[in-house]
Amino acid sequence: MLWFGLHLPFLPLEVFEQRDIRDQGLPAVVTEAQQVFCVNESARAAGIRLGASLATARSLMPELIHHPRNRESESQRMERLVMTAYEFTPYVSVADFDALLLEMEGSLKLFGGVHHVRRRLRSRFRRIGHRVAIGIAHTPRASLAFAKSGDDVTWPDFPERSEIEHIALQQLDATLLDCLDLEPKIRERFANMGMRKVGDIVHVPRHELRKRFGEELTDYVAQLTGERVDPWEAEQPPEAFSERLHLIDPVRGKDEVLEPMEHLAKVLSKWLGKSNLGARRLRWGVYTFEGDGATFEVGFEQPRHEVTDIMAITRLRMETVDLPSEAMTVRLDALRTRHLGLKWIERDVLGQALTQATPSHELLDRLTARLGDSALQRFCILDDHRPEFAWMPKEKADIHDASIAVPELGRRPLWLLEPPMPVRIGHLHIVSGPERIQCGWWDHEQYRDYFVARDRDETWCWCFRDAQGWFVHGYFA
Amino acid sequence: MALTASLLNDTGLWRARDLNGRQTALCDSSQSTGFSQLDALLIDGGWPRAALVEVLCDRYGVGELRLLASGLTRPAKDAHWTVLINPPCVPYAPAFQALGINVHELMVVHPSSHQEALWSFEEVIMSGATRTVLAWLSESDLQDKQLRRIQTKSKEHEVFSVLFRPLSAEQLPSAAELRLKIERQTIDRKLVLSIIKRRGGWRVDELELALPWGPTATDSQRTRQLLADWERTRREMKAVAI
Repeated sequence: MLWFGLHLPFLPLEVFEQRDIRDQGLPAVVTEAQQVFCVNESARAAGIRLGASLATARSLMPELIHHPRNRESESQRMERLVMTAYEFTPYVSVADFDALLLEMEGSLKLFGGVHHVRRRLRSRFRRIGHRVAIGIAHTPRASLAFAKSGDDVTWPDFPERSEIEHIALQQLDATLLDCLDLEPKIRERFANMGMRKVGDIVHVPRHELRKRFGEELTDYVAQLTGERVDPWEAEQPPEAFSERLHLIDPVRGKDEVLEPMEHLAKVLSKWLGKSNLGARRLRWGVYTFEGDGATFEVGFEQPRHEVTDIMAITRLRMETVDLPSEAMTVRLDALRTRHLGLKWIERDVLGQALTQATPSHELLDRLTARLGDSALQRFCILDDHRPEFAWMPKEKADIHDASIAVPELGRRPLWLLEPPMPVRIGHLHIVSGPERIQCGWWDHEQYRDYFVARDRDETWCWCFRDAQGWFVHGYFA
Repeated sequence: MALTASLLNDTGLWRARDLNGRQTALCDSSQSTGFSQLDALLIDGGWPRAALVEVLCDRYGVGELRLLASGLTRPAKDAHWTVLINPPCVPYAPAFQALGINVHELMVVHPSSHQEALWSFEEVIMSGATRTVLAWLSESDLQDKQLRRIQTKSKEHEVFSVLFRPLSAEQLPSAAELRLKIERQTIDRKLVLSIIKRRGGWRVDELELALPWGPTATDSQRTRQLLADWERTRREMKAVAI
């Protein structure tokens, strides 16, 4: 195993920084219970330390920006960061409010080795406004300790397992005890005993350690060194996608609103990619400042995850919907998604593989987007003698009907009148019949005698008579 | 010489000597209409593979789809939608299946306006997902330039597009490559057809084509007897009720 521990020491501050770009770089602190909880570099340079009271900090620096800690936005941000981490590996765990664990052994090759992954992780997190310290080790806890220590060691690009363990254990010996996740009381006891580094305690015989510090610490040390397995539950990507974008300036008109929509489509595409999903149905919402607005749905015949595909259909759909003239919020929900697993097996009715966008699916999507769901009709045949029940629109039933016998050519009309049209018998010239169709006693019982007739216009009709009289039911086109 | 030969083999070139009776062999790409008399009159030797065809008829149920049947069915591997735009009635799926059209590949589009109908017509032609489109458009909104556009696109994307129009459209100019007018269908299942316009030829009137299948007029004596009996019974029952 190759664990990457990610520590975001400034996360509590960073969630505020993003709100206002102008604040970046100014001395700022986050306080919890009136004490300094997180401090940025310029504030630290002014002598403000963690744990100091807000009053002390303000006295040192009156222009200090301070925010009370916001746990909620921290955990929300953490969820987003987990999503970002999925870009690197499917095994992501949240270790603490400010720390992530990534298991990278499987994806190391893909990203071109330790050095590259580290650099890419840093720049990826930096792009979304977070500074991250990375520790690498063979155990999760050691990697977190290294991340907190900030010590840098050189790693080969593709280390062997034994090599990982060797390098990590060496680094562990030199790591300060402060970086471990220890109770303050225990930490103080170690300090009093003159033990400063992790190496000082891992080499102490375990039974001695257990006797003096208890079971919990001994287990922790064993997990740190890898003598004991340390299972972490990996985070699961959320099952539903629902994102909204609040705009700073209102957008006017359909062209302008496309821009934030495209941004949301990108987020969606990323989310879909992580879970190996494709979208079947999406709902867009465009809202004004007051909160009212319009929603519309777009459907895909075949699961899609590309931004361009999603936006192409969305654009078509937008032509027919009325949007508020001024929008402040755009929202996107994935209503139906479909797993793309086993791509190579799945085929659609036309025998085309489902993965690539086929012209036939594209056509369906485009027509539905522009004309609406009800404008398109597809069919399947049911095994029923009654004409009305022998077929139905495709979307209502997805029955494989290849085995159902089809009528003899010319016995049934190509055009059907729905509902049958009443007609006066005097207008018809019966040429053949009757054919009795009596069926369906279990639902809509029918008892009809069908005739072929020619009406005055020389049209060949399919008609029947029942208790109500004569009806034309179809035309032999 | 080689140049002349290649020019002559080019299907786009029409020679006046083909005017009466087809001289060239049936080209591979075209589909026989199923009626030898009609095939002989069409320059491709069958339905044009990529063109707009107009069928003029005022009523449904005169054999208009049976006339086109061979153009609608395609070899199974050629999996493509058969699209009906704004059809006058509901296509009865089992009968279409019997015709050889996989109903899974049958799609009906119900546009809500003429503009939408034109848009979907063009969209379908250009999609690459279909070889056959049948459309019924609003005659009063239809313009010559729209027809020209459909004809061009059909040619370009190799789609067999069929537009159904009323008989009154006969006198109007049209860019369609082939214009057929269904005069009537006789009681013995013969379709009387006029070719108003065709490529490489003049108008042909009153062509009689025997439809290969369809409803037949049989047992009419027995049927009439049966109906008369019914009528009598009904009257008697009424009299009893009174």
